[in-house]
Amino acid sequence: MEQLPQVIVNGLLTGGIYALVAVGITIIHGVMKIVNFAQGDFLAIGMYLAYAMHFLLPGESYPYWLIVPVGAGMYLIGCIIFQTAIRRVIGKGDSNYILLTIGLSYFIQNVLQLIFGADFKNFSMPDTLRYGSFEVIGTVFTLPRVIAFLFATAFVLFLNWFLSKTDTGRAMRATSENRIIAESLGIKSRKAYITAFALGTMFAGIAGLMLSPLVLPFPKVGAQFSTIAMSAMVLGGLGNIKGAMVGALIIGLVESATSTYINVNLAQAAICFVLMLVLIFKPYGIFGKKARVA
Amino acid sequence: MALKIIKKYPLLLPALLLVIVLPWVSPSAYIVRVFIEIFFFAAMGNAWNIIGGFGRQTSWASATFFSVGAYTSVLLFVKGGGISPWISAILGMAIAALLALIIGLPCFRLRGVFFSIATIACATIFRQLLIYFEGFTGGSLGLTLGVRMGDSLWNLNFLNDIPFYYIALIWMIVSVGIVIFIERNKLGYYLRAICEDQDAAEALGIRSSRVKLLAFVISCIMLAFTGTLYAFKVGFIDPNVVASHDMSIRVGIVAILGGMGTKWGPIIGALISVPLLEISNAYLQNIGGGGLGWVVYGLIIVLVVLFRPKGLISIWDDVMEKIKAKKARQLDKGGTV
Repeated sequence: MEQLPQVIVNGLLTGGIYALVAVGITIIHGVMKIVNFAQGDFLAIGMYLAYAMHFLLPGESYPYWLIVPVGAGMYLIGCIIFQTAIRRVIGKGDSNYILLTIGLSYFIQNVLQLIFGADFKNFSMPDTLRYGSFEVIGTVFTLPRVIAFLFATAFVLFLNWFLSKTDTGRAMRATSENRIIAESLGIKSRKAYITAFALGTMFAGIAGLMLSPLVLPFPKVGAQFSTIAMSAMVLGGLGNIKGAMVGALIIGLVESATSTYINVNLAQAAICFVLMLVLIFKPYGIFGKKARVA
Repeated sequence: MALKIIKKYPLLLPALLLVIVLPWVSPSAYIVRVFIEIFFFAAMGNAWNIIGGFGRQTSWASATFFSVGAYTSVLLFVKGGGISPWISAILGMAIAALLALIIGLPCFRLRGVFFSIATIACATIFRQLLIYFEGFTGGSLGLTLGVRMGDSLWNLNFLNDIPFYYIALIWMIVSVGIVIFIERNKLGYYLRAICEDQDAAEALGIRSSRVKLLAFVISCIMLAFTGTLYAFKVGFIDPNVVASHDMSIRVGIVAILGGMGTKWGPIIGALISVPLLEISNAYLQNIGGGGLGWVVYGLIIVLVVLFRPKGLISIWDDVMEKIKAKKARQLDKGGTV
């Protein structure tokens, strides 16, 4: 048990990155009541975008400079996917969007394989980043995790500000409360939907960029992050952004504890096990507010 | 009765005759193998359809129940001193039913998306545990049945594929029979009522969680039995194939493509999706990083959900409708002149 502080630090730092994906899936669900089963695959697209674009940077530079092109690219991809597919299943019942986003997830995985091949891709990146770390009172903080955690926190804070202080954000919240009343007040719900979906996609893509020093991209890398994002969202109560953040941190802790004390290969199973426990005992999240049925 | 069925489905009898004589006239053993796969997937599509189509609760753990059947039978055969698959299949189906209860009980109390999320979670847990306990399950290397001699129906071992062809064909026909039986039974009416309007159905006294649970358990038992047959046909099980997410998707596609909630849909879906993958594996493997067939699979789901949510079989229904309307119009004209 002497590794406990280290396990907690690793878990919280990883959880911070997961928060970015979880917040993305939660904002999509919050505004248009669609659970995006392809969220992890958007993260994979972000990873591959970063991989494809890192050749543009001078050698041995940090990949974080790519945050603007990757973010913009992901926002655009989100808009396109929303316009061509997602908007047709909004409000049409659960099984429609489940089937659609599962199909989309499968499609993305295999398009990535078609373009980039099935193997792991290796970034060239400075060793000072990949293996960089510093020590505080005997606990090791790895550099890429700390940077990713800081970026993720900044983005989540930005989203909070965006939703509560800007007109577009308020319009999104109004649409999520009641679409018809929001429209009668002159809010364009279509615009709110497209912004929410594109933001969710962008958050996943940026999480992919942040993870690129830690995880090597391969076509099916997204699957694990989809389950992580969904677990965090369910843990926090569907559609609750703060809840999703707490959920993501808990998932990070579960993962880090399982990898250290039991076996790395069972980390995913442990996350899914926690998800099942939540579904059985606290289906409306750890903060326990029952969602409205209608 | 028989005459009525033939009249209602004019294509049924010729199609049945064709598949019965097919192994004797087919030019290569390969085609027979592809058809065995089609029959297995059609049967699994039917199983998925009971809960996913009629019950509108999309399950992505088909691979789990399929591999419960496969692993139970292979383990009992290899480590249990050659226990017949017909006996171990019963145990496999019982385990699948139990697992279905464990997943279904908490999830069907809730509405909406929880069930689908839970099936993905359980499939992940099951796959990782299969690979983790390698001493027992063979880990990621899988299990082989080993060399077996002679023809034996009791041990499901044959020198060529033709007996398996008929076993798979019979199982597919039985699976259609189960679907038709459910459709005409109380369970089918309950499921349809719940799909239409769960509140109204519950107000009439239908316990929706129980009905869904029963449908899910039946579906999982059918998947487990297919798993046993499949494992003994192939003689080898690899967890990265039989327990993979891809497998669950393939089972789902069969029903989605053909038509969810229809009795003939999964057969149409299997007839198209299985050869599609075979063709793409044979001819399109060298394009890009490979796997063009799987890209098409993903695209099929997206397109069908967006543009033909009732599946390809609805095209047939549309055509029949038009012919009927035309006949009615002609009769009308005849009457007035």
